[in-house]
Amino acid sequence: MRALATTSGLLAAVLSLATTSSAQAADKYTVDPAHTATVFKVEHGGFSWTYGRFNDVSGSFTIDAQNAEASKFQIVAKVDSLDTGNAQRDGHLKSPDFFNAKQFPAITFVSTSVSKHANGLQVVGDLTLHGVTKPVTLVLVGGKTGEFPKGVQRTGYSTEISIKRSEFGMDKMIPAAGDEVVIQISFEGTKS
Amino acid sequence: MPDPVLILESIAAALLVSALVVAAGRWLDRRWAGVAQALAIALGACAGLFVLDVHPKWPPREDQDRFLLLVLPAVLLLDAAGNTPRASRAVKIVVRLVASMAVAPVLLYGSSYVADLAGPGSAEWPPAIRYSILAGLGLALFAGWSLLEWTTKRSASTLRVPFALAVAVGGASLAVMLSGYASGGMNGLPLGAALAGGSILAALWRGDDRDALPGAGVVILFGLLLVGYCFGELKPDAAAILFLAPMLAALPEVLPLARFRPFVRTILGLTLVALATAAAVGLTVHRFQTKEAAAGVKVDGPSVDDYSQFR
Repeated sequence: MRALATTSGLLAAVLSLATTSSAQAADKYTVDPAHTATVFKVEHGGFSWTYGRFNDVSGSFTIDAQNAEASKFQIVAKVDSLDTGNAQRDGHLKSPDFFNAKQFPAITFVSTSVSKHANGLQVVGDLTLHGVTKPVTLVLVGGKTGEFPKGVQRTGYSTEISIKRSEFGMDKMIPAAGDEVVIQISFEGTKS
Repeated sequence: MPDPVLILESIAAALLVSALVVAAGRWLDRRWAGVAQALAIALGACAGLFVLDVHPKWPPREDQDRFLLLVLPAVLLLDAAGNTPRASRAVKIVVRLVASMAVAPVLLYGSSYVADLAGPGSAEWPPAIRYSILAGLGLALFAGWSLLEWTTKRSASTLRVPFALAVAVGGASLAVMLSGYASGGMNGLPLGAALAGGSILAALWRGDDRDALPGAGVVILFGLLLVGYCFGELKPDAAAILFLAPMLAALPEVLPLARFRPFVRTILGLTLVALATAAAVGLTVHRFQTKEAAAGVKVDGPSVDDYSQFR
């Protein structure tokens, strides 16, 4: 009887480990908007940089710890949530002079391939901005996983990318507002 | 971004080219005066937009692309065709109605107003409301266009309606520029100048109502105001005043003003148009200054130049 109980206990432990291992192999996360920031900066006439952010960012991602190539990322920022700290400038940025929020209301990134990188993950994907889709490469730094707060498993990454807005058809008012846009993305996800 | 000098150069180019084309058209049979005017507006607009370095994209993806590459050429063709001797009145009215109904859907095509860009049922105007709004916009354009056609024939004036429309288009351009859509408004300035150039020259050469094409002007005005409201931040009251402003050119044709001499009626009509346009632009400038003051950006009064330079 004792031998049977021991065997059962061992079996349960092995099954539990196997389940945990499988979960770690492909963990699905939902972007935590409270701990996600998408900040951009663009030169103002060569004098300084104007900073802005998108307040409404959502998405989901899958991290496969055993096989990085199976990881996936999808992030969406709503153009209408753009915020540069000046309502008048925000209105102008949402017009067809720049983002054209009514025609192209979302900026999306969808990964097409993921590989390991010395600092984290290298993610190649399609960035759709202003209705134009182009491949970009992000180096995601981070990947720490943990339980915070208790009962919530989370992980997070950050990255920075520089694009030319004219390549996405957003070519008005250059160089008054610079062509190069630097975007910093820092996001956390909670395990679904 | 063009500076004010470049904007003035584009206006001058549009005026000059439009006037030159009408001048060249005087060698044609008078029955083709409308065709010459349409060509003058088209080439004048091209010249002005070229100076502004405006290059609409094909295939059209945004409202300005659709406006400059689809709406404007189509209306100019229809307007010119409707002004030829063979065009029957009934056909002209039907074509005007169809064209009026098509402008708003073309300009708003694929936008979040009419398309489910954020998933099923996400369009800002649900289907039931959408068709009512689009029909209302189309009927408003048709009514305005018809009134100005009537005014053109009734007044037998080369200048009154086209110049009234040019004034309103100029005012609408400034209002749209100050309403968060600088490039859209700016594109309207050479278009207004192209309307004015041909009509001024035709008036100097003692033309008649065959030289006046209200269709292109009223569609340019309507298009500017629609995109200013839908894609910029132009307020509906200012848009309504600007759209109705050129209609005031019809007022002197109504008794008792109709008793005045034609020249006096034209001056009176254009004065009314200019006053209404100035009121709408003044209202928009006031709102711009109030908004900027609220944002705490600048203590002094702002200028169009500030805005165009993306301060």
